[in-house]
This record gives sequence, structure tokens and C-alpha cells, in this order.
Amino acid sequence: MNTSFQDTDVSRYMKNQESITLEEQEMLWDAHVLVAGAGGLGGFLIEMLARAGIGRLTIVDGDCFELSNLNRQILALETTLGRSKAEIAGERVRAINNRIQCSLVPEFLSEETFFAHCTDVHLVADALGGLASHLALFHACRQAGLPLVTGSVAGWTGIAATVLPGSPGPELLWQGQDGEDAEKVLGSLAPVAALVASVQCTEIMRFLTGKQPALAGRLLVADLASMVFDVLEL
Amino acid sequence: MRIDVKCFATLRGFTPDGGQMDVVPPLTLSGLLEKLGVPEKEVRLVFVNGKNESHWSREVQADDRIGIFPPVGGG
Repeated sequence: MNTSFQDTDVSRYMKNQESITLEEQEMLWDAHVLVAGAGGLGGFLIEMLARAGIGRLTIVDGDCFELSNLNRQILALETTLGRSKAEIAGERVRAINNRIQCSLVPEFLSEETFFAHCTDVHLVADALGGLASHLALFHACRQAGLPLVTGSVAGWTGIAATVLPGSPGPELLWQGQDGEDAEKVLGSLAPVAALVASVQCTEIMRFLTGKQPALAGRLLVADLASMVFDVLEL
Repeated sequence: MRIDVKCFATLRGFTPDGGQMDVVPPLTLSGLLEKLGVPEKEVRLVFVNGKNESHWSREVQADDRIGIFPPVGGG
């Protein structure tokens, strides 16, 4: 399925070319990204990674769409309620580019599933919800020596960071019980999820094209309620 | 002395009016949290002038820019 870069891809990515060279576009096509979570962040992120031309995606999510997802999750539609998030994400990717090699894992990510599916992965995208899930994925990536591009949201606040092997991460933000998560009180909103996913996608594209991620060891913070944006050293 | 303070997410309501407050030195970061009324157990990260500060016994300086975060884990 994921054959080499083709002549038709030059037309497909024509509008990228002033920002992403053809050589870089081929680097994206040769890359394999594991996306953990296909919900609020994951839906937007998968959409952008597929359109960016990442050649191989492994999408892990054991959840199904429900009514309360419709406020923000781009893959949640009245027609997809009750269906597997991973399966719907796969359908979306194939509709964007049928040559993208897409492995779907309709299971909740555990240490076992992670290590079973991280072979040949170049980078992990954290689009999970819940403090414990973020923390577990962070530690698993540390153990596997894989770069992690993480994002999380609560109300009008969004954060994103890139954690390279050995570089500091925002793991302190995920300490505590899931009930203590600010998201449990504030919920999450489409513009914040889309913004954080955009930042994550950009970082992933930077890394996969050989550039230094702008957020390695740093935390981008966005508060859309006050339109305050900042990049902080971890 | 005057400092800038911004509290995020669930702690947003603890941000002083205009994002600035006058404090009397010496005042540690822990002391600042207490002064703001922010329960310390709800705080996960404190940034001072754009850098993560894990030592909350650090004294606040004039013109410091301080950001305070609770756990944020939504996806």
C-alpha cells in the first residue's frame, strides 16, 4: 500500500512546496507515527497528519463515539455515534489518501499494546485524555527511547510539548488522580483541541524532516480566554 | 514590589486583577500561593520568568512573571 513517492504526489503536495521541499515531503512519506487517541486532539491531529503526507499511521483508541464528543471531536458525527474511534479514523485517513498505510488498534493503550505496536515507529503523538494515560505513555516512550509530541487541554487552556529522549518533559502536569484533572471540571472545547493539535502536527513535521522541534524541552501554553500564548522552559 | 501573576485553567480565578499584584518581600513562591489563596496541592507547575521553578522556597523578586498550573490532562 505505502509504495514510494509517486509522480501524482507532486501535484497532491503542490501547495506545500514553498514551505516543505519535495525531499522533505518524501521524508514525511517514509515516516511512521503512532497516534495514541482518536478523540478531541487525535481527530484533528490524524486529519492533519494524513493531509501532511505521513506515509504510515498507527492509530490506537479503544473508545467509541458518544453524544458528548460532538462538541469538539472532528470525527464524531451523528452518523458515527457508537462506532469505534480507531475504525472511523482509519476510514477518514483512507478517504484522504488511500495509499497511507494505516494500522488500526481499537484497544485502550496499555504498556503491552504500546510495546507491541511501537516497532518501526519514528515518533509517538500523545492525544490521550486523562492524567494516568498521559503519564503512562510518557514513561513508555522514555523506556522505548521514542520521541513524544504531547498535548492536553482543559477549558480554554491548551498545552503542547515535545519530549525527546533524555530531554525534560511536562510530566509534573500529569501527577495525581484522574479526578484532579482540570479537564474534569472545565471540559474541553473545539478551538482549543484544534489549536493544540495544529501545534503537535507542526512539531511532528519538523522532527520528521530533520529539524529541531521548537518545543523540545519546552511547553507551549495557550489560554484562549485571554489570548495569552507563551513558551516556557521545562 | 510589583509582580505579574497568571493562573491557568481551574486556577484562573486566582489571577489578581490586571494580572499584577504588589507584595512585600521577603516572599517565597509558597508564600505567594498562600497569599493568592491557591491550594498548594492543586498546583503542579510554577514558572518564573518563563522557566519551570521546582523550588517553591525561592523568593519572589520585583518584576517576576509567574505562571501557575494545575493538572491538565484532557484530550
